[in-house]
Amino acid sequence: MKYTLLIPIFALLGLCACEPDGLYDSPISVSEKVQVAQGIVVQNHTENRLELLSVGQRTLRNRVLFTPEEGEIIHRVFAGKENENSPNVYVVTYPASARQTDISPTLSVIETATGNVTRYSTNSLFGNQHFDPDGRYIILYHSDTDDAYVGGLSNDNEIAIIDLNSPPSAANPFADSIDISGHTIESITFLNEITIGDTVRKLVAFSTRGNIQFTDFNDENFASVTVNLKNDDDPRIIIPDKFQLLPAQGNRGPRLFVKANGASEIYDIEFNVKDNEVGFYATSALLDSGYVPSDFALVQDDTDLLLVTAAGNTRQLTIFETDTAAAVSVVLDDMVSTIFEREQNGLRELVMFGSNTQNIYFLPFDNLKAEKGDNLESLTVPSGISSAYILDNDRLMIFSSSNYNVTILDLRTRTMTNLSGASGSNWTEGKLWNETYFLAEYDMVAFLNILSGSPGTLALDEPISSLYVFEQQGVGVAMHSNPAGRATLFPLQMPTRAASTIVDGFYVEGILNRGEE
Amino acid sequence: MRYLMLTILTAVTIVSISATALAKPHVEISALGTTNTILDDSFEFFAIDTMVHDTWGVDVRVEVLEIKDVLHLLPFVAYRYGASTGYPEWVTGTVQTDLATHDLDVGARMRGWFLPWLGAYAQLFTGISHIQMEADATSDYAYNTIGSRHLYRDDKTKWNLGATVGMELRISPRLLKQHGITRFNFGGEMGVGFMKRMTTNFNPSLEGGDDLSLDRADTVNFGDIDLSGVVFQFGLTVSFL
Repeated sequence: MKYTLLIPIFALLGLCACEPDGLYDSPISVSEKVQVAQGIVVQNHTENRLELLSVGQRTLRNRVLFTPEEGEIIHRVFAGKENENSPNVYVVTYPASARQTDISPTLSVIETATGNVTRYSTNSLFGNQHFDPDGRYIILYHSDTDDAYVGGLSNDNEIAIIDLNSPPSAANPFADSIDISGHTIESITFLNEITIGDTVRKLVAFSTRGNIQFTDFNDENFASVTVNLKNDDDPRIIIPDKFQLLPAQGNRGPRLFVKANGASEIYDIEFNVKDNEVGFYATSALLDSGYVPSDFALVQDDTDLLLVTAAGNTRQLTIFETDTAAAVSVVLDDMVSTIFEREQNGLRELVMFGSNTQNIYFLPFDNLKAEKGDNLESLTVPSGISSAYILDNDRLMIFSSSNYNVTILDLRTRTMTNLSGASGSNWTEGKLWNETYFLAEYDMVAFLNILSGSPGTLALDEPISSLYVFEQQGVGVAMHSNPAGRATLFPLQMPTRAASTIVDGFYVEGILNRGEE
Repeated sequence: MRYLMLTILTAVTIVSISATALAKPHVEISALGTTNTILDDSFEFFAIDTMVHDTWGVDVRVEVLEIKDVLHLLPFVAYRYGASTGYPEWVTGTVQTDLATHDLDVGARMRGWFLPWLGAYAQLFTGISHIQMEADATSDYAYNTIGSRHLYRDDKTKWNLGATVGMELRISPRLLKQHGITRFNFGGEMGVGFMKRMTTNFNPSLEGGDDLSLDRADTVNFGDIDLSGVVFQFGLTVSFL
């Protein structure tokens, strides 16, 4: 009898063990980070790891790309200087707790094809980076928010230079501190090689809010010079954002023209050497149009160097003679924010446009000084310009504010082709593959072969959250906002429904076995 | 636990073989509820707040053997049905999942009455479990469209086996006889045991959308789930004497 009472006791004990562990109570948090040559790098925040959606012609496979070491947290992810064609992914990690003194902030370089990881211990957490144009070096420098992650004291002028062609060592990364008079590095720019005096120098410009330090990395003494963009008591926040370098000409040394956000001046910086002194020095002149320029261009004719500036908030151009600073203004019907140079019928010209405007402007180089802008031409876009992008040197992509047109403007013939007059809006930024341009809006991919002028559409089964074009694979990938992870793959050569493939569930593969990981 | 039960039952059977006698057959029908406490964490995918999968069904037993006038052997056929619903979080939010089981088993119960109204039993059973699994991605899919395939569905049939022990209650036959009832008896039971369902894999088809919807190239495999666990059984029995 007494043994039969064990039965309800066991029953009650068993029922007490029925609480779930909450294995599926939190969403699988993922975010698409960067596109690389192999596919799309996704950060899985739930698992603290990187995954690669590896793109094939008809497949999209999810595999773990990178897992930080125990005690590390992923800070940020970026591609190499090749951007979406980068073969590598770069990951910055830092210790989860300041008490973990055996873990250092690290930059990991991951080869996406093989999964090989090279770890460079940087000792400090750097929020910014810049690749040199050859891709061999990467300079890490601090952002405003780095302090929030590591606490304690930090040196905002600290940088780390990594030789990506060399293995990690005590000297690689090379840690240094830039003396920029108490300022913080805002950006780094690698300038092309120039010859100053008899020395070929490859300068790196460290820009701050108010000055630029030029350092020659090829010089074993790291010869450098600092150019002030304003006086110390000037309250303006001036940050350089465009550089254009000219080689030495005649009795003038190489010159660097700098536009800075927050300054109405264009800085004309000339580099020279002093007799019997090592290193180099710089002098600067100011070309002030009275407004903060949005863009500028240099026009070199037979005898003069002219500077053309435009502003996004005024309807005028200013043409400077750089040697004398003499200037003339040209009134426009629109506010121009972008200037670029191209060749038309063997002659150089400037093409200029802005947002929320009506016209595209053309300014030939020929006889510009004498013409003083009287030879300015304009082309009216009938549907208006909400925004425009440089597709290549001969074409602009224009998005119109009325009836949502997307227009290709051929600058060679000055003719326009409408991509779509549909009522759709919110087109994604376009992707170009060979001569075909792809856009996405809601559940549709629109494309245009620019050479033939043939448009087309590819209607998909569900809304598109992002659109990718993979050149190597010849595949377009439309990602969808689906709980399981879903994408439609279509061949770029033949974007039709019949040739499209849906890949489904790449975020939930094996989800039932999560508790076993 | 289950191996111990198996051993005990086998030993009892062997010892009692010499004293067996054919019983006057009578049929019992039990309406039973069985609470399955699933041990595999994966079950949370189909569960709201608990790891319990309740099933309901019917057992039909026939008493065929008496052993030493104490133990009674009753082969039986059993059917159970149960359904669970879950709301697991996926990438963009919660989706609804459903799991249903149909268990069809055969087995044998060995029972002894300590008192005219109180007895105990031990039983073994085996059979098949038909498992239906669904996951509907439209339940929290803000941009659901007519062409979107959204329903993941898979059916699997697996072997199962198990054992339970328990106690039974009935109205004393003497009491019933006093009231002129000799052809029926009524009772109940309570038991505990273990049920093993073979591991099943959720590798679903993708349904929904319309005739124009694109098919998918690869199937997603959600993984394996094991619906085995401790069972608690409660029921009411009618015996036809």
